[in-house]
Parts: sequence; C-alpha cells; structure tokens
Amino acid sequence: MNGVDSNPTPESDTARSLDPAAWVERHGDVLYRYALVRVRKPDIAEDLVQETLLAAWRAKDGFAGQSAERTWLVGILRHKIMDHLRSRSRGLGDTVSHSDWLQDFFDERGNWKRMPDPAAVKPEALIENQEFWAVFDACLDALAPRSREAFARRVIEQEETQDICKALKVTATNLWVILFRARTQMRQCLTLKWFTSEAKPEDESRQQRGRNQAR
Amino acid sequence: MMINCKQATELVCQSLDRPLSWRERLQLRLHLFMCAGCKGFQKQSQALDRLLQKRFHDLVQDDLDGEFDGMPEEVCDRLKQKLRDAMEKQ
Repeated sequence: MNGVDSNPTPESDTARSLDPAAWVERHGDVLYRYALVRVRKPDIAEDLVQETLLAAWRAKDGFAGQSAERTWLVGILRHKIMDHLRSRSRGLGDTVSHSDWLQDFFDERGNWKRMPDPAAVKPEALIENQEFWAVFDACLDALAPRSREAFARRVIEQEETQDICKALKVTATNLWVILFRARTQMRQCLTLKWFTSEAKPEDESRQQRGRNQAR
Repeated sequence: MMINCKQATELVCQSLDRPLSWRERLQLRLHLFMCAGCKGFQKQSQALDRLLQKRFHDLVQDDLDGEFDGMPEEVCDRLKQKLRDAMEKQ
C-alpha cells in the first residue's frame, strides 16, 4: 500500500484523493459500518462498499471536490443500498395487507388489544446497557429490509418523505404504512424481548405469527 | 371528531414525519388527553427514534468503544486487492 505514498510529485495529493485503495484506508470503516447498519449482513456490506468504490473510481472525473470526499462516497453507497434492496424484491417483505397486519394490535373497534405501558420505556436508562443494544440490533434485523431502509433514511438522516418515496419508488400513502409498521414492529419487538413487564406468553405466539406473516 | 386508538397511533407516527393539519392535531391531542395507552405509544415512538439515531451515530460517526470494530482486516485487504485488479483492467 506504499505505491501512492512513495510518489512525491506535486500532483500526489490529487492522485491520492482519487486512489480507491487510499479510500479504503480513510473511509472504509465508515462506509462498511454504514452499509452494515442498513443491510445487516457483513458479506452484502462488503460487496456494497466494493461496488461503491469501483463506481466512485469510474466516476472520479465527475467528482470536482465540491463536496467532501466522504460525503460523495456515502452518497454513492446510498444508491447502491437502494439498488440492492430493489433487486431483491422477494426480500422486501410487507406483503400482508395493512388492515390484516393491524389486527394483531387492534380489535375491530380500533382499540388496543394490549395497551402500551407508558412506564415501560426509559431510554436514558438503556443507552449504557450493551445487552439492550444487542436486542435492539436483533429487532432491526427482524424488520423487512425496505422498512428498515425507509425508517433509517427518515429517522437517522431526516430525509424528506418525498425523497424517500422517490428512492423506494412508493407512494406517500405506502410510505406512511411502511414507517408505521417499522415503528410499531420495533416497539413490539423491544417490548417482548426487553420490556418483559408488558409481555405475556400468549402474546409471544401472536407476535411470532405476525412476524411470520410479515415475511 | 373523536378518533380511536388505531387512528391515534397512525397520527402519532405521521406526526414524526410530517406536519399534522390543525384538525388532526386537535383530534390527536384530545385522544391522548384521555388515553394513557396511546400516550405511552407516543412516548415510546419518540424514544425509539432517538435510540435509532444514537445507535447509528455510535456505530458510524463516533469513535468506537471496541464493541464493533468496523471493517475487519481481511475485508479491507480483499477490497484493496479487488480494486487494484479492477483498475489494472481498465
């Protein structure tokens, strides 16, 4: 990896900034973690980072340095993640109709089957707890990939909903349903796996059924 | 004017993603005033968003505490090799 560093010409700075191997050194960890948080699978994250860097290298003339190098690379990675999700339409999940899905939570009059316990979640008590984060990750894993991506784009990156609709190729109404499901499912999963005060054995089977249906 | 818990939770979720109309705000506020369950759902939904933000920032943007090491060495080496191969071909 010294090929770049051993070149002391004045252009070496530019050359270095457009060298994918140097990108791996400088941004590899961030890109890899970013992809891993989104797709949850190490081998896919690796492929996506690779595709990103290759695409970046091919498009390097288009990178005029208006944006920071990392921002530019993350932007390409985001597209790669979307392409990946779209190419695996079988894995997108949420095939259950919204009203069927809601039956797990609400009765025919729209009342809770089991009331959320307002005292159950105290995030400030959780954030130092490593075991909690393992459960949190497991719950993220259980989301349909498209739900997770929509949820991540909306919450983490505060992306406007119309932009997420465009990227995911869904209508605004679809997006509300996807986000609603993602939040409700995360909440339900955390409640069952962590906030056991609200969980009862009969809920376990219902939740299991709901999850199977969602696949 | 009255909405049920199902409608209230949908409004709670949408309120995190778009501005509600004055009518929706009023309906939701009325419902939450009377319904501890949906109030709990709202608190938990807001907390959930904060937790997800924190998880992401911990993993991607901050220095790590060793719990998650980023790209494994062999992945890094493999990537560099593949990139070099690809560049030579072009």
